[in-house]
Amino acid sequence: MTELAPLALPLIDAESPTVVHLSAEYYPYARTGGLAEAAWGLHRFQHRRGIPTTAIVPLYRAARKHVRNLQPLGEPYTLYFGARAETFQVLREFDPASETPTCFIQHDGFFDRDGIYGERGQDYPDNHRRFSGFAAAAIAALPRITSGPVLLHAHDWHCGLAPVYLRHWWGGDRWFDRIPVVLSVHNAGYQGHFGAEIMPDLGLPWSLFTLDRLEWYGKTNFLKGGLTHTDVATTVSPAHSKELRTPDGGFGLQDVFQAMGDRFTGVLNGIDLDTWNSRTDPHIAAPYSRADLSGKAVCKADMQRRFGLPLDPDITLIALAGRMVTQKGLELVVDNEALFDRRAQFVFLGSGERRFEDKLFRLQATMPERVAVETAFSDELEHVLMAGADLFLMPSQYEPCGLTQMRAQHYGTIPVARRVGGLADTIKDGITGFLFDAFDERGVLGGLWRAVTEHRGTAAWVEMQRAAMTSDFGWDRVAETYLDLYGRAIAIAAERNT
Amino acid sequence: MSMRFVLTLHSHLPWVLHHGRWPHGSDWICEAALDTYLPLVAALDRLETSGTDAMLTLGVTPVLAAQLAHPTFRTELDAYFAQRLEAIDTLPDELDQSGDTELIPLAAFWKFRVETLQATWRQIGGDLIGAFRRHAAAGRLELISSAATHGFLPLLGRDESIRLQLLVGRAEHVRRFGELPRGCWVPECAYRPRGPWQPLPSATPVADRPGIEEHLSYAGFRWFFVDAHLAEAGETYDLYSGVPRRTTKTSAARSPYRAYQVATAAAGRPMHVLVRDPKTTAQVWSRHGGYPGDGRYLEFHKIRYPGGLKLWRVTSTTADLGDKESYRPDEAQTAVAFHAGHFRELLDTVAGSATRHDRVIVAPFDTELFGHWWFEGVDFIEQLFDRLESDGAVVPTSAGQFLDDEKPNTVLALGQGSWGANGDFSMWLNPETEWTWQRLWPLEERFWNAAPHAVQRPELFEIIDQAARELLLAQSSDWQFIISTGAAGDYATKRFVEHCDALETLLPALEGAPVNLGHVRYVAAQLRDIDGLFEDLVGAVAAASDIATPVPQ
Repeated sequence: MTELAPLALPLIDAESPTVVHLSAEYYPYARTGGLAEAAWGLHRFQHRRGIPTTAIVPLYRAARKHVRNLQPLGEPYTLYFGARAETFQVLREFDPASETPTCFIQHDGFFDRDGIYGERGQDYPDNHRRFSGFAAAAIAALPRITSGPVLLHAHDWHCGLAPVYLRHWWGGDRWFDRIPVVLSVHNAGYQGHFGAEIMPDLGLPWSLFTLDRLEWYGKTNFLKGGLTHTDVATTVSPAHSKELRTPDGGFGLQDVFQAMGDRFTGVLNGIDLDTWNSRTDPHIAAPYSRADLSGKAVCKADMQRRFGLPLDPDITLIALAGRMVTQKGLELVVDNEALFDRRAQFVFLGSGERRFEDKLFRLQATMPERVAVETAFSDELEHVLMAGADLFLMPSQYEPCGLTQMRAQHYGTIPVARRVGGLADTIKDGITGFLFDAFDERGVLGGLWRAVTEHRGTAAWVEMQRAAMTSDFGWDRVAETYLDLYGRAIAIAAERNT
Repeated sequence: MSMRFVLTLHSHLPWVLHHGRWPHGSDWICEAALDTYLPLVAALDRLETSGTDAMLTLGVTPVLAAQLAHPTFRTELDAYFAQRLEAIDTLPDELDQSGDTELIPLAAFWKFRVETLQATWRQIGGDLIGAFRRHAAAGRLELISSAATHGFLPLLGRDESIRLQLLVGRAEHVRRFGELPRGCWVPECAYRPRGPWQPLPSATPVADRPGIEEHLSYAGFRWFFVDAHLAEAGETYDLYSGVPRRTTKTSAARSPYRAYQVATAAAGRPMHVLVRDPKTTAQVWSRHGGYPGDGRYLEFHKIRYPGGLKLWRVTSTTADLGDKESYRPDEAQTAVAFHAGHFRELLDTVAGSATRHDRVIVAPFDTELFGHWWFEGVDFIEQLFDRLESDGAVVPTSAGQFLDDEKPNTVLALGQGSWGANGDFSMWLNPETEWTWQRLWPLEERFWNAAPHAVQRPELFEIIDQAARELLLAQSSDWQFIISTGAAGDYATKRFVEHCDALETLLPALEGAPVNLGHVRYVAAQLRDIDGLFEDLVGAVAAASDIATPVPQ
């Protein structure tokens, strides 16, 4: 691990604040998508750079197998959501598995379950209670974590009510009033919509059920609540921050994003360069680097062998990994006959919608020498794909940031992706990857056609791989941007309090 | 500091296989092979043997490469060799009977030359592409590509058409030559910057079309050539920390002896441009003031029939065909030696008067000028390389190598134009050719309106594949050029109309009209037997048609 110079945060009342990340997912305790890694990655980087920080996450059943040494932080406490009373306990982990200072909100009734959001494809019916409870309990826990000033960084809809409770339950208390809030929207496609009738159950007044607060087409919207109460909001790429302001890309919240003006910006996530290092990666068949790419051919052969594909160094090996769902553009792939008509091998890794999995297995059965499918996603296999594939396909309908394309480029694997969100911001078309525009089978076909053409040229291909590997996707790249953003939130909060 | 010399040859012929033989058709490509391509390979072989440093930038258009690799071409050239040798064998008796006895010694000259070239043809296994590929791998050639069928890009009606020409051009190049080209010979050096478009009152106006360089960038090309007046008409900017700023310099900054970054709206890598040097190139291509007009060289226009052999010399540019004197190969070689030496001196003179920023002399020509139009031209190139030392004032290099070494940092907003007559588009768009564009543009509209949906319907793949070929073939700039020169206008007209008709036959199926798909697929297959160049066009059409809808800011 490299030694990094400390970073200094702007001060609150002449004191350096503690940055407290609130997240429903956090690596390695709870993970369903990119949120866990993004929240953890940013936090770990800030921690390593000397910023006082803590993460607060729910103590899920799944998290218990990772935690090492939990100690209570004060006594259990009870919060009243209308007539409903809920008791929480804050636990601090010493020697944390996440390598970051981490606290857990314990409420076994809410979180000691098999799933994070639900089970067997069904959301838990009390998710509004679970995550409003988590948000309120986290705010209540803040004075136990530090007596000094706090900057709250909440992530996604699950924590959307944190600034709402902060302002309405604790408003008027100077210690809480001076807390600046940053809300990061990792995926605005998920907003936490619930019926209007839950408002009393949240312990919030009906006066907040208005167009400029939590009301959204007759429903209660957690994310909207967060956006209308936060000081600053971010999403995970500059391009996505523009898309979210449009009727086509705003998921019905475009007016809210527009109204925030320059208080809403896009900042790219980073990838963990210790985990994603092709020179030291323990999961791949041979190490390689930008200067010496010879190991990548060994990794390609290893990937072909593992997935039962014929060993062929020249054929274009195309990978698609992640959730096999509509958002990831699977419907543009599974029925796209022209794709499987060309000289290429495809490997699909990940599970998702049944209809897509079924079609992929049918493709594998029809052309086993060309198509391989593995629905059991694992970190190790993801590394194998990153190192072994020639191309990574990402035909996403939308992609707020995306980490796969960054990891792929870092590994000299060329992404072929739709020009949306973070994909547009991190892939240089024709230089480090290929971007296409149309969200239809033609777009995927055209993008892959360009990429496969490029793959046929030896020197040009190596040049492209090297250009991709030169791209800087580490967290230090965005550290300064976050410092500016935190400074902005601090200034806004200070102004609000004068 | 020495100057670099980039000698560039652009090789192109329209698709003529399966479309006649003589006077217009496959004989064109056989003549070019015998006069130019094979002699060029032989010259490169000799330069290799002698260890001479030679570096040539060679463009081979995809449509020419497709023909050179086609089995029909090999059969046709074998037959052409046989016909030539037969004509040579009967020549002495025929000349004796007609009383032209002073021409009889030329039979031996031709016999030796044609047999030597036939030996070269056999030695390379009938594979001209492979021969060029071998010399490229050995570092004597940098191979560049062009638009698929040499479409006149600024006048094509749809941006998708321009993209398809360039995408297919690059893809076909890697399929033939095994490497991706970085350089593009933009057909006829025809360039149009971003801006409004309506070349004829009858054309549907477009408020803002991307510049040609934006399409080149999308297709993956890095640089191209323009004629000097396009640079002269442009505006230059200097780069400060990557940001272009208007320079105070005027014409001196637009010297043809520099390479430039093209001012563009395209994101991504810089697009570079090399500028044709008017001074040195005029010496070579001008039949009147230039070398090919020397009286000692073989006369192109006077041909003996039957047999099709050329037996006379230029004599003088003003001499009537009837006054041409018999060709004397030894005197022609004396002229070659003199002209190669003279050209070397001319290069030295340019280098001697160069300013500090002048770094390169760019001399692009049609390859077929050498050998075909100027019979001794290939010998001239060979002798010129003999006279250029690697440590001299002028050092031969390839265009790509020069740009790798120099990394130009002056930005130039190019003007519009071509290297054709008048420096504009008038050779391709004039009262004689207007009708071709009026026929082509609506067909482009129909094709590209249908394409985005058609490429998602597998039952249409064979049809869209062939429709794309016919569209590309109809777009060859050759048809308008030939009509404008008047030399073989009927043939060009016929060919243009045939390809448009073929496209028109296939379009209703792509447009979803109620047609018998089985029959249309049969028609497409029949057309493919004749016009079967290029592969995998469905993917290329998909890529060409994927044009962004900008996200509102």
